[in-house]
Amino acid sequence: MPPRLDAVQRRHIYFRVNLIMPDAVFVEAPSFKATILLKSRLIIIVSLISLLTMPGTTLADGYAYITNQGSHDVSVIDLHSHKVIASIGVGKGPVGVAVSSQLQRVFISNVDSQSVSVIDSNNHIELAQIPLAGSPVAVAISPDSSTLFVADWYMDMVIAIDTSDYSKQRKVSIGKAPAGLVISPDGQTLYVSNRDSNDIGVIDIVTFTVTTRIPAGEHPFGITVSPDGKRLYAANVYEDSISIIDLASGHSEKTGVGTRPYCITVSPDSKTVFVTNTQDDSVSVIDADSNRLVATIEVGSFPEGIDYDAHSHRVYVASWSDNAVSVIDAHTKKVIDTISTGQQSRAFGRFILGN
Amino acid sequence: MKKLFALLALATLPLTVMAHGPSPQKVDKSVTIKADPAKVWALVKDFGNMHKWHPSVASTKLEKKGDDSFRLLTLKSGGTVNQKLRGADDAGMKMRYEMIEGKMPVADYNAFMTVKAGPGAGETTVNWVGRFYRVYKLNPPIPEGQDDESALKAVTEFYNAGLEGLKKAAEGK
Repeated sequence: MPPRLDAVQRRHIYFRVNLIMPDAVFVEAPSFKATILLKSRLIIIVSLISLLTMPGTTLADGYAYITNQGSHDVSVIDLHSHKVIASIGVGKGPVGVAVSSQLQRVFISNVDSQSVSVIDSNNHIELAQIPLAGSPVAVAISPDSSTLFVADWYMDMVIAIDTSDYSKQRKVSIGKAPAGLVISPDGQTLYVSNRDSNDIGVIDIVTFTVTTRIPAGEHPFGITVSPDGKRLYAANVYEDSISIIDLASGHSEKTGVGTRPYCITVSPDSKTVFVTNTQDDSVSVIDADSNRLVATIEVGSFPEGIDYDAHSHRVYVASWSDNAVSVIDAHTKKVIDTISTGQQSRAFGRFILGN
Repeated sequence: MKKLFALLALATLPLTVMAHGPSPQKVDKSVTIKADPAKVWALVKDFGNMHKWHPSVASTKLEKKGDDSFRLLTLKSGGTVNQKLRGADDAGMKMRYEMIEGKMPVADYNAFMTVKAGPGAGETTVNWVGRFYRVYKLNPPIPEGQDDESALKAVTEFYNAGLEGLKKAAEGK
């Protein structure tokens, strides 16, 4: 049985220090959804209580949150022990994932139950499901954690959800079948891969309007921006290539990878690019200076989601067919571990929550 | 006239407004065969002779186009299926192929078969895994026979019958 909120847990009051409004503290009680504004002098007391009452808080290594489409749950991998320490039941067909260390929350898109699950990353329980009209794919969170973005490929739009009040939502229409999402490191721009329009939508986050659309290859799915903010990478599924777009000049080029590439991650120094190839059971490694393929690493079958752990310099790859995660040492470019997860692991998005 | 417009609007709606939304589907089946792995692998990798072990396949026609191999399966239930060989790895005993078109209620179908020694002495395990989408890639309502359930049922039945047939062929029964 997946862990669910019981009556005792529901009565538990979660405290959260609001970092945007430092003179105020919100005390949230999920059972009756009340928000009480307290005076600033209470901040320290409440913060202390909140720290003392947070069960299971560890400041050790981070976690990977792996969505399992077939078992309708999320496997939580301890990045130090490489053990699955929790399995959290969510909605149907979970795919997308976004993490916020600031909010201590993980957001999961449930494609088949048209909702986003909110997970408490301290207690590893599902706190809520946010219902949506269409069908969410990618989820991404703004660097200040104030806004959760959801790509909805039934409705061809991107939804912005206020993380302090999930009922506050804004919508913008975009190209056909918006799938992947990524936000520039400065938090100003949201990029959306429009899978069936073969382009990347560019959204100004402040005005929440589409400013332009950048052509990509055929069927762009997973996208990412290099940590230095200079380049956008898009996996062109039907073209067996990735598009490499210089965000300052708009210059775009392509480089060939394996068969049916899906998701991309970039090393923290922005120098190495890792791409999952779903139908070659491999990860292509591309040198960002030359844009050339430098290595191909065999991983578990039908690899999908991929993320880089900056702390350990390991790359984690979800294997849809093997129900597992392959772990790659980024320096040696070798698989060093395989971790069993739930059924049909996808982990589409940034799924590593560091410390 | 209003009715006609309404029908036209309905007919064009899925193509213009809505988008593709299904999740990939998976069928993962295994069988244990009392035969040598090399003998089983020889049957599996013989791309142009599937009818020799699959009871639902009446005949197989192998076609070479450049470096690519295709097979046209004629099913006993009627209709054909055209598949492309993606690779056969003798060292890993893994064969991968995709469906170009055919009388199966699936889309974007690709699959692999692996052959491994074990679990017991003199035994071989064959694993057959397919990844595909339903035929109807647009939004609900989904027409009958084009949903996830129809796709899963067809592939599951094909794999179950095939693995049973492969076992019989390899064990010489």
